[in-house]
Amino acid sequence: MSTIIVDNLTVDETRTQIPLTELSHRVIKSYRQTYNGGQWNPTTTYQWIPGMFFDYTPASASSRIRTYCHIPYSRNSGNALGISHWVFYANSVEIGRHSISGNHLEDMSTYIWDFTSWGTSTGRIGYQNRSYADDNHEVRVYTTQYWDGGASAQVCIGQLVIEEYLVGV
Amino acid sequence: MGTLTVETLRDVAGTVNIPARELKQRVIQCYQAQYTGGEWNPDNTYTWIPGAFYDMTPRRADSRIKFTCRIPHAWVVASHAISNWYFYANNILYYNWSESGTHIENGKTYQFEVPSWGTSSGRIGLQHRSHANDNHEVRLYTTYHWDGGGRSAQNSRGHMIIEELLY
Repeated sequence: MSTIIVDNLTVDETRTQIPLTELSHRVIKSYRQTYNGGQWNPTTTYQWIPGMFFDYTPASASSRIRTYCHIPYSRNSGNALGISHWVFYANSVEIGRHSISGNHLEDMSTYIWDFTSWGTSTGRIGYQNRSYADDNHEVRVYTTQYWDGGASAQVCIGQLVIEEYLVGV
Repeated sequence: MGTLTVETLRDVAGTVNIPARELKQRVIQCYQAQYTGGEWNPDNTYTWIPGAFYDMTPRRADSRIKFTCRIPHAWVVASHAISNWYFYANNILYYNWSESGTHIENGKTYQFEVPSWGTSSGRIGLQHRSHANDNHEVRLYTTYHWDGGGRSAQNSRGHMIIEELLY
């Protein structure tokens, strides 16, 4: 009743066939969240960035998980040189690390991380962050330093998207 | 096993209906690799960035190739770091840009999409040079500062994903 065994699909016989092998690469679960809580002020201790982590349960142990982190940030008013350190984790395993720093730094970027599923238990995916010096050489998340010609901490929205997919044959 | 000609796939419960035409958009090939070799020091000649290029053979000539690459980088010698970047696919220069600034560090992900060049092998990836060798330059897969201290070259991993897609 439930399974058709076939090599190809087609909408009509005059059109190109779709090999089922090419349908094996597919997204099987996704999650997204938006953060609009305004400026986040880090300290010199690593902490989960609000809006940039999620306790995720993979649908499969043989999948890969791709995470898109859309993060606006800027240096704060303490010092023009903002310095920050970022570590990305999945289920307590470090996937990678980098700094985000610069003089008069303000920017927004989408950081993409892709890693293998750890199984079907719940694990935390996301970024931890610390500043170089608290309220001094630091980078604040979800905000601006300048706006419309003056100093102004705008509320900037972040987004975390998780896509779990199976890799095709 | 042959070909099933069908307009819609539906599960027994009737809760899932998938028009077969919506299955035309799909990934037909995927390659990815992680770079764990640590800091890479460029010079002032354009060089393929290790971990950020691949000799790929597309499966089809009517597909598109999506290139995604995460490359952490940082200033190291002169605080004013200047770097120049090229993105090539099968010897065609598609994009170029500079990434420069004072005391810059980042872990950006770059993403480009280009048409397939046919079913022959071609190199796809990033070339890079510094403004001045071991002076005004950006080094890749590393950091300058870490955990509140001075120079601390962390091994910052990179990741490249290449997907061939049909639309």
